[in-house]
Amino acid sequence: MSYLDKPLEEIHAALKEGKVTSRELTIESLNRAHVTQESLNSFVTILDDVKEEKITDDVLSGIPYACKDNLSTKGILTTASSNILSDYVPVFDATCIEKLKSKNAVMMGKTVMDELGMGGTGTTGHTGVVRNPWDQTRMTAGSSAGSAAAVASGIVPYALGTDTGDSIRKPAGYCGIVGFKPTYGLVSRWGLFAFASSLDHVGCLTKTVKDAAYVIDAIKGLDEKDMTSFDSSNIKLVENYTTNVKGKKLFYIKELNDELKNSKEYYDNFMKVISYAKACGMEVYEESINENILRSIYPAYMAISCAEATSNNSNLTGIPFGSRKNGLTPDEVMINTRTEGFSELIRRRFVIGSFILQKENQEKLFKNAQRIRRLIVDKMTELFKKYDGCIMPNSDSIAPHFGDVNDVMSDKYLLFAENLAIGNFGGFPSITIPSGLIDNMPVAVNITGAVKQDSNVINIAAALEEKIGFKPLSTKEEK
Amino acid sequence: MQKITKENIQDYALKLMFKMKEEEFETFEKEFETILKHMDLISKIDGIEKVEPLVFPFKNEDVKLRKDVANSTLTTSDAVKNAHETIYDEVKVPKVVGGES
Amino acid sequence: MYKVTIGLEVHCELESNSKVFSPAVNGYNENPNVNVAYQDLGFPGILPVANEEAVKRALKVSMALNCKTPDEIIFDRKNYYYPDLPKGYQITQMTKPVGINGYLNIEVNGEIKKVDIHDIHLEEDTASLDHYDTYSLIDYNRSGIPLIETVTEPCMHSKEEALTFLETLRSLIVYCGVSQARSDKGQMRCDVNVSLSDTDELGSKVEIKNINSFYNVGRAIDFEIERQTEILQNGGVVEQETRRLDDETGETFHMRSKVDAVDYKYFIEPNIAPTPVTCEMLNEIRKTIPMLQLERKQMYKSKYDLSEYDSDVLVKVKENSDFFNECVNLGADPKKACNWVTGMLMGYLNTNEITIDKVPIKPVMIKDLIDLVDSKTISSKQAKEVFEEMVNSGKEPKVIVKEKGMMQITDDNAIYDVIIEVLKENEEQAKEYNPEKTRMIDFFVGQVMKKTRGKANPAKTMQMLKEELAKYNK
Repeated sequence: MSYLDKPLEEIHAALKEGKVTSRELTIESLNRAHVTQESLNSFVTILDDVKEEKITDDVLSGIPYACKDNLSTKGILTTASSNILSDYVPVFDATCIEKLKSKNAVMMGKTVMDELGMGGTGTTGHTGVVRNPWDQTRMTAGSSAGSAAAVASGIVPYALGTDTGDSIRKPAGYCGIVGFKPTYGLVSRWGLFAFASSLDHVGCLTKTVKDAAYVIDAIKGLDEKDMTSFDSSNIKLVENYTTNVKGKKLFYIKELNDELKNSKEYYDNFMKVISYAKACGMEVYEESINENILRSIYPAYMAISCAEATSNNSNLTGIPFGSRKNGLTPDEVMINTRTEGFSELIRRRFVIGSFILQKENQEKLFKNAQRIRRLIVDKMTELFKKYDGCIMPNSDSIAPHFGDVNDVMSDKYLLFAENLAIGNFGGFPSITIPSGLIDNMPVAVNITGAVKQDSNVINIAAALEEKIGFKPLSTKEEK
Repeated sequence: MQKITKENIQDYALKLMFKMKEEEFETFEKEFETILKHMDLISKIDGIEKVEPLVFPFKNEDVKLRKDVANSTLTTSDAVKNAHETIYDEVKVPKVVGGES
Repeated sequence: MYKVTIGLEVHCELESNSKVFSPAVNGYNENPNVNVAYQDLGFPGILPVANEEAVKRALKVSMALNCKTPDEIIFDRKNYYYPDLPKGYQITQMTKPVGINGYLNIEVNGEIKKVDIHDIHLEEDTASLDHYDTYSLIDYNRSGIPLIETVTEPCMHSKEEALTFLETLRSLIVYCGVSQARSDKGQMRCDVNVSLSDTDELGSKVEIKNINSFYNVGRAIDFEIERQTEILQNGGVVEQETRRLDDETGETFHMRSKVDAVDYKYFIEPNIAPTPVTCEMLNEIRKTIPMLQLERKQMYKSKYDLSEYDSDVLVKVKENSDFFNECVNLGADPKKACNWVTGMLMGYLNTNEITIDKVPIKPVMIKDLIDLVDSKTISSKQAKEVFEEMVNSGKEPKVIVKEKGMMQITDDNAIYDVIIEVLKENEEQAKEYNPEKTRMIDFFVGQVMKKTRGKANPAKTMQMLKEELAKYNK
């Protein structure tokens, strides 16, 4: 097995001992990216000219990683997988990129995503669909699709992703890897191309929970460029990492569980994880949440995210930057640029978002969505006073085949459509870990905890990870 | 609330500075009805109107206003580097006529 | 005659080191796109961070306008598309402006009128456009400069009231030290709404947007009153609309109708976490609000008994008024101090086209100068000479008087000593003294003056000489 497939601590040790060099790791990562690019399409840009980095005491030093293409990288094409930014080369680095640079991490490529982050299938990027490394007839989900595929296929040990509804955790679950979205504001959003500012998070996709702790420790911190960031000097994920979670209390949501009973294999998988939790010495209880509120999460998420998105993306007019199309007047320039620059899905979302924000609709649509947000956040916060975490099935399915689902809003009152957005509503730390295989495809569970209790969430996930003993795809395959 | 029709979809779209294609209207209308149907569910939740809308995920106790120090690192050439066309370091657009919106 | 009702929305740039949501320099630069930061071009991934000083300055004006301040600072987005608006939205305040429900007293024709303030909010300026034959160029230097927008209730009823309000507001802003508020530099811009009615209800509101000077505000109001009067007199209905003023002709033109009103889809800016406005913060700011122009004028008239004219002259520039106040605080007689400040000092400033801070003169010098005259140490004529020297050199008046040897000798003993000396030296003439011969006494006065280099008080000298000479001839 290549060092590239090992946990970060082991790679670091090997680099320190000179068993492998940063250059070798980087070249291998680039090679893997090229070999799998045609089949998986993980990358918008593969940085072939990237230089190895010097090895320091920092665990991430010299190790290659991949970055979602909606994080601003100075001098490196950043498209957010949209035609409207197909030639945009930022002039500044996102704070998380700056931090990784300072730790001598090696960025080897920018990963494909759903256009502007606004999709959940990994099929809407301007450079084509991303395929699931476990089964190329299936999707990865999104929007951090390329990051999930790149980690799952072993191109990189970790990748940066962003998460507005479930954009890190959903694809992580479908690709059999770890996806972690920390507390809102733990990682600065400076340089993250905004989708829905009040829901957007920077996080990571890794193969182990401990790796996620390393990555978030490296990129977190109060940033004077982000007023929603906070001082997290007392949050030390690696230092406080332990799999001893004896006495911790978890709850699962009765209504989600009842729904899951319709899919026996998934239910069994979830209950097995619950039994593992108990085996770790944790107490697990059932809690009930008003079903109408749970069913409202999906529309509330759609309303808030589309509304913020239509405003956030108003800067994409082709005027000071972006792929400008010609026109006789500035309005024509903007209209032609935006008509050609955005896909149909994006334009639909913007119209919906703008409708929701209209003066006469705000009260009934936008504000009601924000009210549901309050109800769910207050309820969860109240429960987190009693519990260390909420455990949820990550999804009620394995990764769908292409064509089976699309990004058109579902007519049904779905419980599982956007259950992970609970974490975004309240800015709660939320981690997804693989929990087994169904039909030879990974399934996953999610642990969500109270604001700033990131360590708790990491440790609970780590304990479960140990008991579950899931083998990531890249470490299973003979390379 | 206004009903959504083909005519006003195009009007909404144009206010957002893009056009919708004829064949896109059908999906849009369906999706639109869906979200309104879903949102109706929210309106029916007991006492919803009394709930204070939540804008920020949680209260950030560390928030500080920025000290009034000018320290931008953006240079003129970087500022206009991504512009389609510039003249003398200014971004060029077709002639703007009429007042501000 | 129809009743005219006028409301104003006044934008004023605030001065600060950096812009309101970005760390770019807040200042004019003749080179385009120099004072810019990433936020000012709306690049993907930027976030606004509100400038503490801009917020404090806005709160200061809000309190000076007697407004109710909010419990926390939050902002809203105003969404619209225009080539000068790089983000596609302007960050402004709608939900919780820095001030609501205030008022400003103005003086029109000697009467005090209270103008109600609907709200005052802090927002960012747009980029500026330079127009050429077939294209326009965008300069982002102005993008993100802090603006305060003061919105009045429709409560003014004449052009005079509107213009006086604008002048008073400008003076308030300048007095608060938050901006020079110069419309010639584009720092102040207005929207005016004018409605005419012959009933108690307000007529259709016609808004004239983006007027760049007070003079043009007056023209726009005149034109609108005339235009709307004509429509109403002919039995027509005034359309509720937005118009613009043609600077060349002074006429207003239709821009858009009410039905085309833009829905700005305001919502709270999610990137600016709410900052609490504490009592300490407000008290701290309140301490820095000076007494305003109109209050000062009233005080000068009632407390110091200064004339209307002098009071107006004194309060026109805050620094001059401050200077005068300081003279009075040091104990100078208000009327005398006023004479010096409005006469010699402001004359000097006007002649040299400079402001008071460029002159090395201090209030205590005026006070001392007045004292020197009052004590007859120098004559009023000499005082003017001292003043000239004072504004140029910044020397204390006493020092100047000494250097120039201006000090009059009024001390009896000193004069007596000199007289005795003179009489001794001219004993013969003294013995021949005859009070009838005036030329003789003149000789002795001349001798005394010679010895004191002209500083002996002549009247005193004459009197004492007469007494002493009389002793000789007993």
